[in-house]
Amino acid sequence: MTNQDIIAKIKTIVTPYTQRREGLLEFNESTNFLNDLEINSANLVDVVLDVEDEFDIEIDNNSMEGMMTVGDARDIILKKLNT
Amino acid sequence: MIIGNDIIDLKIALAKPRIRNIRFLSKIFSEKEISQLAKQDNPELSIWKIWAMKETAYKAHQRIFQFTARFDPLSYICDLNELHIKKDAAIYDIKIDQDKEHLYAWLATEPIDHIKIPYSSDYWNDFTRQFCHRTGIELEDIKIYKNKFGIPELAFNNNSTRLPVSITHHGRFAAVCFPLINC
Repeated sequence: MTNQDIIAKIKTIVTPYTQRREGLLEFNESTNFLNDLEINSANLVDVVLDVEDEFDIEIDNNSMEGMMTVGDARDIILKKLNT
Repeated sequence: MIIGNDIIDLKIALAKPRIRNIRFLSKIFSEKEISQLAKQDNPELSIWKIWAMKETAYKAHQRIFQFTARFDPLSYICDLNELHIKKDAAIYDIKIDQDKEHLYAWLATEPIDHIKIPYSSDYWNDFTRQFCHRTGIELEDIKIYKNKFGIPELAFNNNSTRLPVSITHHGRFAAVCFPLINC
């Protein structure tokens, strides 16, 4: 799976939870879930669970703690896929 | 000063039952909190009560210790009976207002005021208009300032004072709380 594939899948996952739609137009690895997409923090848990399901991985609490941007999520996914 | 708030639109929050979703619960609540939840009259509502308390404490804690945003809800330990959150050595007492539509949690170490407004793309302007009406401050004098950690303050053109504010929105609702000021 390429970097772009992963980012595209993350975009699909976060879209239903995104309150600031403009944030989806310039979606890239520096996009911040809370500031740029205004995803409610309660929905961050839904994002984490959906990422776990989509990539068949388990995101431990330490990893979740730092999952603030699309790039963070991609790095966590890559790391889990490769272990 | 210490200040924090969090609002939950109950129509949205309660639309998706969570109490049996152990994967969801275990990412944000400890086993002790989950067993506390099970004993409540309305466990679904209590999920959001604890959540709002944790979020409120997080905002206060981040303002005191000035750290980059992180998502570590398990480290905020809730006591639903005492209505407080323990984080490291700190204990935050939380106040809760609620009705059928929303739940609002807040904490402050000094007297504060709250402005609740409907959430829209224009909610910040709605807030500043009401804020100016209450405080007598001129509308054009006010700017929102966020530091590098994203922690908000109100800045005023005519002097260098900055006012700590806490901002929250969810679904149909938004709320801002701020210290009472003399005008």
